[in-house]
Amino acid sequence: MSEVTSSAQRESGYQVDTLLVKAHGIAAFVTLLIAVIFGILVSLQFFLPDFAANLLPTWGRMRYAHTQGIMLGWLGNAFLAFLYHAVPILTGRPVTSHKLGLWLFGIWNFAVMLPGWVLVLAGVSQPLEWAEFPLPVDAFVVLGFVLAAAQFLPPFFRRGIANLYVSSWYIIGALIFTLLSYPMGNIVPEFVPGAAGAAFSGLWIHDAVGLFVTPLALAILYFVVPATTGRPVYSHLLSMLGFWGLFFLYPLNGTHHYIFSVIPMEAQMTAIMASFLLGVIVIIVVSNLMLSQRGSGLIPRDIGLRFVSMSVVFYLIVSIQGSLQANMSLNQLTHFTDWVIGHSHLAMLGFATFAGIGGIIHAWQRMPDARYNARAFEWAYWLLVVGIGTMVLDLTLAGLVQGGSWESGAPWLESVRESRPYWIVRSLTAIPITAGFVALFVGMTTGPRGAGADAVERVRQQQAIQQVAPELSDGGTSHVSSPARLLGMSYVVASVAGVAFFVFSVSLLGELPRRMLEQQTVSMAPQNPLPLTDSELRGRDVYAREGCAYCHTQQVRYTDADIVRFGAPTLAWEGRFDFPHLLGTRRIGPDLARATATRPQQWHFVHLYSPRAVAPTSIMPSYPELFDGSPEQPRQEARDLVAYLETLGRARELAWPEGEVAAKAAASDNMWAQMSFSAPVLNAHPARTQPRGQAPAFGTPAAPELGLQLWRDNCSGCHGLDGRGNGSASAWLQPQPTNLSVREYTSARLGDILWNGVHGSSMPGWRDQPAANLAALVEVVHGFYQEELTTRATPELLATGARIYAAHCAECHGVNGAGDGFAADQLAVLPTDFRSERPALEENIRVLRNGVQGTPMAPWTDRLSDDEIVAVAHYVREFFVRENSVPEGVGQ
Amino acid sequence: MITNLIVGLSLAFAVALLLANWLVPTLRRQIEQPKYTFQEQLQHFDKQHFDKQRQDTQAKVSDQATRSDKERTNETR
Repeated sequence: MSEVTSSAQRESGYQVDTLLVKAHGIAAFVTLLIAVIFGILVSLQFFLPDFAANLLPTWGRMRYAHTQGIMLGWLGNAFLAFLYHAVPILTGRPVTSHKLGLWLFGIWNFAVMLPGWVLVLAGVSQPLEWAEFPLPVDAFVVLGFVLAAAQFLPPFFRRGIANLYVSSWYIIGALIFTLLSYPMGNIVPEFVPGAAGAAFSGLWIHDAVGLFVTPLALAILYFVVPATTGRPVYSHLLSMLGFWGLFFLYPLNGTHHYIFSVIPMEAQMTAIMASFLLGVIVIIVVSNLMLSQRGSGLIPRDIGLRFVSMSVVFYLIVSIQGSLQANMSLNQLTHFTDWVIGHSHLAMLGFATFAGIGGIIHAWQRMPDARYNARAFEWAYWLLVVGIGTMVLDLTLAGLVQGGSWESGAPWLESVRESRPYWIVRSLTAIPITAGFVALFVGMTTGPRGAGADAVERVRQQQAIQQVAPELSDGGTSHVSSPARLLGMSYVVASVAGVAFFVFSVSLLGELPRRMLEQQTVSMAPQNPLPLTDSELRGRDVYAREGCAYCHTQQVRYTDADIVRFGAPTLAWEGRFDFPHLLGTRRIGPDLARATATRPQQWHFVHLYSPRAVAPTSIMPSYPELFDGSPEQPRQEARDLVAYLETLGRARELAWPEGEVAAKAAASDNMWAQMSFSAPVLNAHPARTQPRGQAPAFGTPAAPELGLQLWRDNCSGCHGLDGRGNGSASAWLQPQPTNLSVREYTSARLGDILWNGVHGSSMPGWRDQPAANLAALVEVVHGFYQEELTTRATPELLATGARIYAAHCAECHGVNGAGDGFAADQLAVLPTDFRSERPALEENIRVLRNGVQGTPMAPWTDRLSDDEIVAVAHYVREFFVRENSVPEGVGQ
Repeated sequence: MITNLIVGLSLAFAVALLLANWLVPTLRRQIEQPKYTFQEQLQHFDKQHFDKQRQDTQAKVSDQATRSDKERTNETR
């Protein structure tokens, strides 16, 4: 084991490769600006969903490009820039090779970032969070990490581990552990299906932050603070306690991304507990860093230290937030909401980015030929603090609003409507944030060369620098005592233990859950599971490449709110064909785990082609490229995608309820599985059509203005603003939306339709709307009907009509016109109940002449004469039983 | 069970480290030593860097002074 920096090496100078510091520094900001632009475009489409839709790649693809750009492009380059500055100083030795550095730079930016972006934007990606670049690019990422290890680790090994400073530990740890965790998170889920794959994925989501981003950010913090203040860190003991605590506990946090999922509760509880302990460790780390800055003031004069200081504050907030989020009661409220998005922005754009900027500025100040614009850096700091602080606060509040809305059982689009102001504010914060990043870039590329050193000198003259305590300054370098040797040994033991602990975490939170879930699958799955067809598999690929899982989860959680809204919680075997899993960690749209048989195919086509045609307030991106100019002309990809959507929850539907009996017995004392089996309904989707009847009393209607608003927001897309059935989606739907101005309904019938929907048509149920809202909608529909002035039919005409009706119509519409003829139950769309619905005479004639497309109602012109059509058109109107406008109870 | 083990191990590790640090002064010295070594390395780097910078600046200043002296001498002549 060699000794620490020798005086000879000091005299020969620390060989910082400034060219590579500059190269990675500039690349960091270029990739950052590109990634931020993707982020801004993504954020704009939250409230302007059609913004530049024809010009830009789809929302999901840009989201992929945004997250990977921030993590690998920006932070990866920023950390590499800093390492080229820090490692020679920490080790007293140059990095392995300049040439190797050029290769690393080239691979990182031109074999990882550039093709990675091009591929995800072209639709070649991996639907895993923080692992979106496809596998071929992953290979180059791993190669990049191998080169980075080869570049930066040998100086540490040559130096030896005696008196190794905490930043060195973090750098070594990050390089080794990322090499272990990256393949685990990016490759394993491709081969382990469903929730078991998600267990590995969850580990990577946290390891990406905990074993790559955080250690390197902390290495910067522990480097820049003493380097700028001129004083050693407050306590090296606490820093090392933090180091080992973080490396032991971070890998155990991953499963907290899937709390209340089907992943075994033992793994979830371990992650929750580890998250809490991690919070304690972070408080130790932050206290140490804050004490190390004492005397520098709340806003340090040195701009590099100022960024670092704010990074420490962000680290404290984000870590406490993370620990709290893992708590089950808070998780129940905030998971899947923008709270989590705020949290991840605070981690990546707050803590890590501020550390990265601090590190780069620190290095920049010490490069004699680097340009340095102090004024631009000042601007950048304030713009970024204000921008990121506001964004995180805004998203946190949005998360609470969304979580509250979901728990209250309000209609899904209500949470979207309530989120809109927050999403606008979030996009507005992009102005100071982008300006801040541009200012940073300006700071690094303009101004006098070498001015950074002057800035450092000025600050030094202004603040008293406490010199290193002389009695300790050489302790341990001249002799190695017995306890010291013991300590050296303990570091080696701890290093081995660190790797062992990583393996332990993967075994405990990845492999063990995988086995348990596999066991559950074997014992509870149907004997002959229905695999996905080729078309459905292709549809799954479309779903994955467009990033649908970023907005729609595929897991009904084991919570009351989820059971009420979506149905029975997802069992392990339901995802047995999911390679990789698509469980998702965010809900902007509703969960799709039980999407099967909820909407007709045509509705899906229209919804994909032009979402706001069928749901005017939806923010779903449109996918016209899946069609040949119209939803009536879907391309194969659209057909595949809809076929895939129809598979979501299908296997469980087929097993329910008979198949559940055996599974329930197999589950025996598995409390969570029993919770799934005891759900009142398998698919509780409020839009799913149901048989007629069973609608509750709606009571007093809400205010008429609210009724009209509800109509505009929910119904006008199909039925049109005036109820004439001429909404923007009407031409694409079969049967076409009803023209409500030519039909008189009883309130009971309207209540029935609103509650149950109309099976076989695109008219969904609206059971998530409060009863008062539904009552208000009933009133709105009544208002559309225009009483017609028709001459009364003569008794002879009615007699003719009765005869024809009995001969041709009664078998479907029933003898009494109640829509309950003997053939009715066999029809895809139930026949009209003329007792509760009275079409205008002209409408009846039109229907008899033309039929109703998309229903079994055929044209009758080939079998009935015009007079007979008129007679029967008159006759069916006689069945109608008018009632008082407001129903006492619409249930039949 | 496993969660208890993790909590127990983490606490035991932390307590052992703190106790060792408290009870064995030589060990404490050794644990804290890297921060001083690092500080020395930083000071040497800064000295090397800033000295070079200062030398460069001084060289520039003296160059300018020599040049203006020469110019002044030429003008006087």
